[in-house]
Amino acid sequence: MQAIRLQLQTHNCNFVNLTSIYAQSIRWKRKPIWLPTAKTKVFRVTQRPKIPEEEFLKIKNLYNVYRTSMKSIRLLFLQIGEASQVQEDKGLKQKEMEEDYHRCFALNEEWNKKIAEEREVRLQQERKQKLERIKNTKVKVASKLKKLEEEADAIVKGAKLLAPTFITRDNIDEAIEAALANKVNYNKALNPDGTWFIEKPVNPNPSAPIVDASIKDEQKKIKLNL
Amino acid sequence: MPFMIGKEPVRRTLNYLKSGKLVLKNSIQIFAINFNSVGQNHKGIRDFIFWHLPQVLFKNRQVQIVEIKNKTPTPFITCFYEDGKKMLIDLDGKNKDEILDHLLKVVGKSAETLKLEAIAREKKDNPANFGFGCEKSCICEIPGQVPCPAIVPLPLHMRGKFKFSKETLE
Repeated sequence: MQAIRLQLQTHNCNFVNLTSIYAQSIRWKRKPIWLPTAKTKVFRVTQRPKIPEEEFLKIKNLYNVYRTSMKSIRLLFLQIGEASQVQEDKGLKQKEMEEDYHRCFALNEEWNKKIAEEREVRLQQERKQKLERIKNTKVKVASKLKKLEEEADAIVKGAKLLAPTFITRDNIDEAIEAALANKVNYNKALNPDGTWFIEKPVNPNPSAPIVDASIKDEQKKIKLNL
Repeated sequence: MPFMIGKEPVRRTLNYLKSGKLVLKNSIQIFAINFNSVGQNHKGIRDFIFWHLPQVLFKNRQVQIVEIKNKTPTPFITCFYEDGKKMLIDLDGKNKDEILDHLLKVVGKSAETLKLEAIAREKKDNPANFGFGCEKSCICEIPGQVPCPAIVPLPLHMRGKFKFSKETLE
């Protein structure tokens, strides 16, 4: 017996997919199931056990009680199983999910509706503000344009006043002569004392300038008005 | 702390991610968020994305979560269900807490469902459990326990064959 035990412990059970370290092979312990009855046991007839009548009845009664209890327990378990299966019924689950979706959808619709109303109010306010802003901008732009126009008018007016003094094809010769007659000298020097030395003009008595003084006064007035 | 960089790094901590409340219903497959990067009416959903989206992502790994940016005048969320239905949730001008509360009511699992699921998960996950549907089908597979006698013979002192044998009794 001890020898067999030792032999058993030397074999592991990897071939039956048992990874436990305790698993051992029983290959060498038992006779394989496919082998026939041993030759020495073929003609052996087992004696029926002789049980006294009283004991037999007692055992029978106990077995009956056992079977009845087992049957009732099994039936109870079956009932419980059926009840749990009803709960996990796919159709019912689907229905529950559907109901849940509809309930949530209704809640959400209510929420969306409320938000839509709030948004409508907000958008209207924003539209109003935008219109006001546009109106203000329009006024501002108009006044700016008006001012620009006035400035341009003033410039044109001044230019028109100056127009007679322009050098044209007709008076170019006179202008040249006048320029030659009135040479302007810009050369001058400064000493450390701060005295300016200005070169004396070639022509001490220059002729009158082309631009009329009255025109200059007029232009000054226009600028001041602006 | 090497990972305490960026904006609000608390959002990336495991405790914060685990404390997310929004667990979407099983039938929801896609959760699409439409919003703009500017505008006061999009502020709430931007905050929701900043604070709660990491938690939603953590808690709903099987759901596809999409952000669609700058394609809409008003912010909204669309949930697509597995049977083709969908739900559009308008979020115009709502703050992040209001949004979360509404989502919990409409597309999130209820607290009771979550509790039941947690219990069921615990049963399966507990390594001390054995039997049908557990990691180990029999107590004998656990080290230190008595192995099944069909596989390993019981020690002699546990066996009737030895205990009640004539030799032992004598």
